[in-house]
Amino acid sequence: MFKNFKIDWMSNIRGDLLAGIVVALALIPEAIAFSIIAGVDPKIGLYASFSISVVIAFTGGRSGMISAATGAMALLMVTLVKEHGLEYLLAVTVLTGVLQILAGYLKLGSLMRFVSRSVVTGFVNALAILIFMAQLPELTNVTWHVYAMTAAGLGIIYLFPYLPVIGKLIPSPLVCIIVLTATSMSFNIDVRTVGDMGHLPDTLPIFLWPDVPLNLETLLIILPYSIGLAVVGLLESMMTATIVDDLTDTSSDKNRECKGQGLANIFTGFLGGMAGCAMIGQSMINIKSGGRGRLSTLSAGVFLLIIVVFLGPWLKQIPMAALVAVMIMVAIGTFSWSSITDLRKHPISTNIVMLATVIIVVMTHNLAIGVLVGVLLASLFFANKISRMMVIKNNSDENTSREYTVIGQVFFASSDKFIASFDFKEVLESVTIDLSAAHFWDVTSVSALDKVVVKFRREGTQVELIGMNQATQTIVDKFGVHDKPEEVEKLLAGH
Amino acid sequence: MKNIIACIDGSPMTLATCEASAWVASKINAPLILLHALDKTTRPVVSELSGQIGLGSQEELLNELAKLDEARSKVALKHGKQLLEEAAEWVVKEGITNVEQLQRHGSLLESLIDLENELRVLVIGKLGEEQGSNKTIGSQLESVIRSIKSHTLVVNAPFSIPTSYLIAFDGSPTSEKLIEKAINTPLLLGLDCHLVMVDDFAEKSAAFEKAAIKLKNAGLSVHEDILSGSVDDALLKYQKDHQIGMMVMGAYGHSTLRQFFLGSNTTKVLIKSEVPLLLIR
Repeated sequence: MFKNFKIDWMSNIRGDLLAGIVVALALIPEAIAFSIIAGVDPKIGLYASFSISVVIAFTGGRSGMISAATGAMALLMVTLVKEHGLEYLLAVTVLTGVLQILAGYLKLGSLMRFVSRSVVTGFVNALAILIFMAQLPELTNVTWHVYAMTAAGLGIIYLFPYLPVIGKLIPSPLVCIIVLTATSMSFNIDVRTVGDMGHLPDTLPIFLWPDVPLNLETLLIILPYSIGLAVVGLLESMMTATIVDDLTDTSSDKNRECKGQGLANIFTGFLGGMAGCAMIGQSMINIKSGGRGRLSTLSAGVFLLIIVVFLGPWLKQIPMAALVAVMIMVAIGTFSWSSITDLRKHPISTNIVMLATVIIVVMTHNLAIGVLVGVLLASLFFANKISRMMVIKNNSDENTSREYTVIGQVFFASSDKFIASFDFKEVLESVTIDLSAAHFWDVTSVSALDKVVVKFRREGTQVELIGMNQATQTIVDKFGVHDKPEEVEKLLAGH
Repeated sequence: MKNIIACIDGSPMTLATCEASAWVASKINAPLILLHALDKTTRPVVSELSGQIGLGSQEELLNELAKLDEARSKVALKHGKQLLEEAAEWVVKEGITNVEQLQRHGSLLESLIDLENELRVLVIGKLGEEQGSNKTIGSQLESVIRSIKSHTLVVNAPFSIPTSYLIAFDGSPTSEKLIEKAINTPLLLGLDCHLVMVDDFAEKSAAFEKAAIKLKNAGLSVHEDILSGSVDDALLKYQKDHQIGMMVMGAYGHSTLRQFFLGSNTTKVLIKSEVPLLLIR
């Protein structure tokens, strides 16, 4: 514990603090943008980003990962805020945290192993598309000034780093925001600014109990939202943790991360913020800027609050176009562009899983549903592939007997093929079925075996099963009926 | 067969560690492993503060970081090999023949935990590589001592073979066990024993007497003394006055939390001692 404390917090102080500043600047646009999506004041997202990153710095299982108010979560809150209002959102946030802590104790983080690579890629791409689409309202029905400013902002973001020396020292998103704000203020251009979008924080957040009636009705309203948010939050956090693991070549504690996310959300709900989770884009910015330890996450949150509270009047003047430019950068950086070129190389089933995940998410605006569909599809494809790995060879010794050799996995997906591989019409005295290279997995496969044995018997053929392995023997003894006469009667009578 | 493991890095303590481990090896006749850990976390992090991510940033960043690690690992590996070569030469010169060299990736603590089942005595220098003027013990030392449950010899430079040792006794059940273990280890065989207790309470002095008798019965030459004052200062003063070559203690009797508030005698002695410190488990 002592050792970890030193490494997590003190091993990279300079890098962590600098990265914290850069990340704080990247968090502000996102927090504001997604508060607007969720239909609440920018204040709610900014408080959330502050509180989540500060709490997760202490409680999280992955050091150097950035968590705050995110788009994936905001998109799930839209109808709740519209129908029930802010106080219910805060209650949902607290309940989300409770559910996530529960997930941590139930060790659900390890369920991530069922999420295949292609689902993760689909998730990331869908997320990038959602972030981009969330910017579109700011770009429709506006004057040409907005387009010009957004384009100029993107130009600054991508070209400024190429300037010698200074380009690598000052974050280009910051330059973009400052230049565009200065331009719109000095020329008095009439574009929408952050101040038009709602209240900004002018004080430090305070601890409050969400103002909702504590009864079953409330619970029934908030529970479905909380479950969705908890699932999406954990999914994105686990995926981001894996990405950070890869980048830094270190390991993380996924179950601790679940609990950490939960605690962070509970605190955030009480501080008047919206639920959040880990962020892929910002975590990458953090690693790139040299952030590795918990200090980077903590300082990102603290710097964010300092900037927001003390520079509030200036923050109001930032044109939305500048934030849109930053968010487009985050979307582009989050999208896995190599997955497009990989489409040609990867097998069709992998591509279907990836694209299905993306399409479902973009249609439903719910990452949880997309991932669920992706995982189901991937499992079906997998079951199908394994079922093809079963073959049955037969060789006849004489005219009166035949030996079938079963090789591979027999389970629900391969049972039909198993039955179809036997020739019941052949007139034989005895049949030997060699199962030494086969494995029976489930009830379906055992009943298929029963069927085969009974069918042969009905034709007057003597059947012998040989070479069952231990596991197969156990399941066949438990569920098989072919050597239990009274059950065979039932089976025969029933068909 | 259980081994002696000596932790080799590029610190000024390396030579003393080699000599001390050679002494331990001559005492307990077990294979000596010279261990060098390649710790990535101590390497400086590169940072680019542009705060910008673009097309394929993730892959690009991964490639960049992997390449950097690769280059650094190669250098560190070579450097470590050389250190181990030199260390092995020193040890062989001291007449120890059963010597192995071992390099592992990961922090020193991780490597030691992986090797713990094979570990009998650990020999480690008091200072690490990152020699600041204000550093009094190595950055990894305390966590290693806390986690590794084998005899640990903390070496200070320069090392000279001890002829006597001091056992700090405090009357607790832990320290009674310490006496027993001290009698049993061949490491302390043939050395003069100074049994010392700081503070004098009636009930404790009975235990103290018992301990002294136990040691004497084991055939050791025992000097007893009861001191007063703060534990660390009294012990160190006694050590200096009597020219004792080694301190023997049990490590960290209390929890981290308690230590955080009250301080630990082990750490204090560790910091101030000029002679090797043997922690007996």
